[in-house]
Amino acid sequence: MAMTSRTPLTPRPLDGVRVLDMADRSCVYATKMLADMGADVVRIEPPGGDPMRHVKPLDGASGESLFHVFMNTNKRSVMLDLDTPQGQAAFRRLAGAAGIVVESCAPGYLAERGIAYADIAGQAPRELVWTSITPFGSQGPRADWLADDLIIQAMGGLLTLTGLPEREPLKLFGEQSCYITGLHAAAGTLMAHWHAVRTGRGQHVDVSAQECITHTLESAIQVYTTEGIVRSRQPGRVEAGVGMFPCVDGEIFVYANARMIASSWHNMVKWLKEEKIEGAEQLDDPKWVDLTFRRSAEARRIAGEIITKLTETRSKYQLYDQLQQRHILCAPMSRIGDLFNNPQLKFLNWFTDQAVGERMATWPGPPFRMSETPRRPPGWVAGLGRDTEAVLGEHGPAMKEAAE
Amino acid sequence: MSVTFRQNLPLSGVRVLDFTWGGAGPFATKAMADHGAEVLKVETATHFDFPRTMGPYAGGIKGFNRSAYFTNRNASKLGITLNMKTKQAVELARRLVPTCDVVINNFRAGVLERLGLGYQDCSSLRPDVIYVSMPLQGNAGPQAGYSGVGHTLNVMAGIYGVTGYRGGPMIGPGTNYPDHSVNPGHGLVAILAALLHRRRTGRGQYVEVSQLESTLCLLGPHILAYSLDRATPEPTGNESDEAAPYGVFPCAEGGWFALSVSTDAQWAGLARVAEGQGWASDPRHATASGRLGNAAALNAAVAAWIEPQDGFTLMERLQQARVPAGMVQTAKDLVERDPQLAARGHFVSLHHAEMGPVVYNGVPYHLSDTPGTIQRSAPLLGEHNDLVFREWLGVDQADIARMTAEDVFK
Repeated sequence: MAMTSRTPLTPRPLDGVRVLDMADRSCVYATKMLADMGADVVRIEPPGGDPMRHVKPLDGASGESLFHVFMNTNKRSVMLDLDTPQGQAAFRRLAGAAGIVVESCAPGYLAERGIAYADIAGQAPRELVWTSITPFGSQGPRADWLADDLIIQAMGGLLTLTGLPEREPLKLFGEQSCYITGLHAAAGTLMAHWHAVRTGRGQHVDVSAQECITHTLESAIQVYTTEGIVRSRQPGRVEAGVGMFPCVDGEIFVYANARMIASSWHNMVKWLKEEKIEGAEQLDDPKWVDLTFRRSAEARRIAGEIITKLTETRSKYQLYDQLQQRHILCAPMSRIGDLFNNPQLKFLNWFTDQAVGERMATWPGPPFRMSETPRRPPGWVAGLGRDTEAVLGEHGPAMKEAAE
Repeated sequence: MSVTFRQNLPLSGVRVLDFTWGGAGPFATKAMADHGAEVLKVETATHFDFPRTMGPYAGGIKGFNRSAYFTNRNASKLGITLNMKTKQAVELARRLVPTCDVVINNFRAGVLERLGLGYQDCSSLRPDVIYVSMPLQGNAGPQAGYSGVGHTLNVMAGIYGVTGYRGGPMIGPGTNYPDHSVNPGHGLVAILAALLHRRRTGRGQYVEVSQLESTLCLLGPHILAYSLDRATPEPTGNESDEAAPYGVFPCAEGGWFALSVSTDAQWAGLARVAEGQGWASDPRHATASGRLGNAAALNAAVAAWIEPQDGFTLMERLQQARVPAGMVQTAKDLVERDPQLAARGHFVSLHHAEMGPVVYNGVPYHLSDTPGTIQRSAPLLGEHNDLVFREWLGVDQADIARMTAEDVFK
């Protein structure tokens, strides 16, 4: 039976830890991490269902949200109407019995219903960790400001760094702030949980999505605070030897930078000369290691033309191997479909098969590999309220009535 | 020299032997150090941790102790130097292993194994060690020995190949994007999980964070969509089929303004702020389907309305009307004029022996009872050699002098 090989011989790191999950699309990657590591994650959905069930991309056959599927595998679903006294009472009981609560409700939403951390912490076990994730943090003059993925990438500063200088700043594709915020929130939650396990004392964790983004700006903050330079968007081929180059079956990205890892540029010039590429000799001139010249339009054009003569007759994986053998940083352009053919991922058997609805799908493998405690592989995705009765039933007959 | 560690932080009492360098690994261990872990960052002057030599530099003056890229990733840690080309340096590292809960590196596959500091070696020195390896693409396989940086990972892992303006070529992220959250974040989560497991079972383990595999998770839903329907996302730029008006628009003084209206309540807020504008009272725009159906014209009209306005004033007015809106903030805006980041104490300034005051990004998650923060300035190269080798390991003064002369600490 397939399940056998998937059952670990040792407990998972969060086996037995109950997590109440009200994280929305802005941060749900946090609770996916906890579920992957074995936690009993119970998602609380409103009547009518979690709005995340409509977030794209959708399954072309069933219309099901694949964002929701990816983020919520191996979780249970409990439907509660938090606008009713019964729903609030049920939530209070569940939160009071949980090890961890992760929620992204607007500041004040839970307090208005008498079910915020401050209302529950006093009656819960002292170990309770409660993580609140909001666009700008639970406290501060802009705590109640609104944001989605676009607004938070703007307000956090990430937008200023992506896109072409002559065009508008460009948002990163596909709810990236959910992953950035979710990972920071998961780390903060696990640190607080670790502290609770050791000392018996839980606490509140206040996560600001904006701060998570502001922490993800490379060295833009420090470029400004030390050198007074405001970093902005840069051209695609930012300097000579860097950029996307055509090859017979697509494109190869070459990063023959002369500043960070200077040998890539020198190795590139050496190979161009060995291959007797027309014009390569001129790249020996010392001006080619001067950053100002390298960033000039002229330098970028000349180097681009010379390198293209080398790349346009070869395939991208041929080039990937040849450039790497010569210690020149590079990567084959990879659209989504190309990822499945990456020889390294095939060798490591990274992708994993698991049905979505009626159809077999290929899922991403684990984000990291742990020898003793492998992640829980993707499994079922609960329908709305599938586990309401079972979960509330664990908390006594009165709770079960609330479910009905 | 003495160094005191706060004992009441979540990771107090956890010690990390940190061989990570560059961008991704050091951010994972810095978060641990900010929360009380004793992180020993191992460096060498024979081959600098490259952020030390790429700046930005304090006052624009070069120097391996002056890079703010380095300090922002290595604050709160202790710094030691070991020239691993010498046998004695390797031996000193091996003597540190039994005192460490976690040993972590992001070298290419096989580097530490050849030195006798692989997982097998370290777990024989300390049976419950948590050994973390963060290679680019895993420690085995046809591309295991290949090199890369965040920019090449963007391309390899597909995030470049989905990010661009509609109808144009792919642009990709403008940063070494996976280095800054996803790879340190996955590494940190894995370490915390391994600590929890060790506490329950007494067992350490081997953790491998292939930076390629880790980064691929950023496209998880789209990998599923491709596998089911062969759906290849085309670049959509700052466009949405869920919200209108939506996008990034020019505003006064060369600024850029982001706006996202997806509900009728948000639309009503926008219409109030934009009272008198024809598009704001146009009945076609009263419903979401009406707005989406006329998105191009509506976005153009809204853009013309925004263009002459001061974006910072406009975002205050719109947010007060419960409309998701915000400036595209630059580093200068974030540091100097964002009252929310200031109120939360996001930026932390500490004095550094050579650089003077240095601004650090603080911790984005605030633990109410045991908050993490920058514990101390990033170390000068080899700043804590005396503490670690003489005081902790008990190497006597004469041996230290002899090994110094033999470049063991270079």
